[in-house]
Amino acid sequence: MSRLPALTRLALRELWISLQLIPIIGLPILAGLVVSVVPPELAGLGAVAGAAHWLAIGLTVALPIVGAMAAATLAAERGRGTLAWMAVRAVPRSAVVMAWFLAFALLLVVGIALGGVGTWLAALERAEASPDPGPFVVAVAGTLGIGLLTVALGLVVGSRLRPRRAAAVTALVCGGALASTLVLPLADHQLITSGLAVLNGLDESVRPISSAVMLAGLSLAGAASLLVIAAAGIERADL
Amino acid sequence: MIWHRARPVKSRPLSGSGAVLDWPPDRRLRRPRRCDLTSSTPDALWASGSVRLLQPAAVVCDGLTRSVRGVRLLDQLDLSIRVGARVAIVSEPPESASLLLRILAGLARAGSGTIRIAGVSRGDDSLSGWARRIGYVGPEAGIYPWMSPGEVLDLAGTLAGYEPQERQRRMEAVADRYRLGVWLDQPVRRGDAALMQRTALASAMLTDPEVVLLDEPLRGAEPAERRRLLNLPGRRRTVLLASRFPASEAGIVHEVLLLREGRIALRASTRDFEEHGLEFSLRGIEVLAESWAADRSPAGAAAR
Repeated sequence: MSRLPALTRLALRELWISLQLIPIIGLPILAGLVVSVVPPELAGLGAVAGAAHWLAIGLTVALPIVGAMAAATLAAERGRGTLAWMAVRAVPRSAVVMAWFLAFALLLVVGIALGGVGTWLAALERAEASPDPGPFVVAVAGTLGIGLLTVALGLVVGSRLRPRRAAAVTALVCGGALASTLVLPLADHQLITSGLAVLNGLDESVRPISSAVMLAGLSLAGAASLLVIAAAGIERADL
Repeated sequence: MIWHRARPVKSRPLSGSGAVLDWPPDRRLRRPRRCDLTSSTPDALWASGSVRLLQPAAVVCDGLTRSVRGVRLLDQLDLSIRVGARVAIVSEPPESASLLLRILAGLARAGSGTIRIAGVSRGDDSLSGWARRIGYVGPEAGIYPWMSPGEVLDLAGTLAGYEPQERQRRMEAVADRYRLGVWLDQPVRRGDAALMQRTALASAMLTDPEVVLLDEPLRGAEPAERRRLLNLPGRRRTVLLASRFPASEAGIVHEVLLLREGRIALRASTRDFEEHGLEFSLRGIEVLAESWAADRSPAGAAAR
């Protein structure tokens, strides 16, 4: 793992040059801009809760796309031989998977943070009184766990399938899971993707901060498990 | 490298010829007795006559088996390649040779069997083990097209764990040999396919590996230039080259190995082709293999 920084830099540079960096950061920001276009009142909610609701819906679209990009990227790495180039230099394959995960994670942090700031500013503009930022901030931070989960799932799928198929499978699975999280009533949520539901129903949650922290932990544990599976999958793959 | 003591290997004459091919009639005869001395051992030892007796082997495979989608590409393959050998591997189906090299490079798994290559077994991820002793160049260069040859070499040196000064020295040496100088700071996508492959070969040679595995390399290069580049320096360097067009490997290799249905169907030196008046080509290899197979048949044995 001593070569992880060099590999992560390489992954970030590849994402930059292949222009994938723009959607990874841009999609969560766009999700945050939804509230500027669609007023929170349309959802029948207050300024902050409504803004959080639209951000959750935006992230439901954005995160599966980012997961699909992670899947396609790892699958492409296998296909064009760059992973093999590193493997013959005794770079552990799991280190390559981890480097890609870190690269996506770094960009997602930036994207979701900027998207959250944009949403909050839009909510402030509409709010009559000064709202408490705590629940909103924690709920947005909790969605980062879900973002990492989608990336980890993408890496699992990308370690086995070809790029297009991997992207399609990841987008479908993640999209389905996140959409069902929004549809299910909040009381039933004990899933690893339920952090999104806390953001979606910020007004309905009794203890939004503790729920968001707990569910974020659940998502991170899920992401870690998927990363282990991805590393095992790439170790077994023929390059 | 793995050294094994010389064992008596039966030599059989080809039918209708006086030529003799060294061939292991029984794989048990070739099972090496291993001593983990490597080709990195001091020159004085290499200069001694005992080296000839010990027959150091750079690559040893025991019972290598692998099937892909129901097709058995390697079938209980036993192989021992001596240090310094330059071997072209031709196969039917062609995927067998490529798969063998990828297994040796640690890129694909064998269904069963063991390998030792350059004195290390797979799983040795140490910088002094796997990374520096084995070089592999596949049909795909495997480098990002936006990288310049200089960056590729620098990354290869970093991953191999060289200090900056040593890295720079090695980079200059391979850049000179593979004529990358003009392109050193340009993205490889600005050059042709041959530039990308030359860069890949240069990055593989950066560590001065003991065993070089070449899977259809430098197909985009001019034939003369390709021959020059693939004549890798070093008497102790072992080169295994998977090829679908063995005629283009004349002058690069000294030995040929034909795999048929995952087993060795012929192992001959280039001299054998000259002695039989055959061209070093796919056709010539097939003729020699048929001749050898006829010799091994019961009728051939009875005639002998």
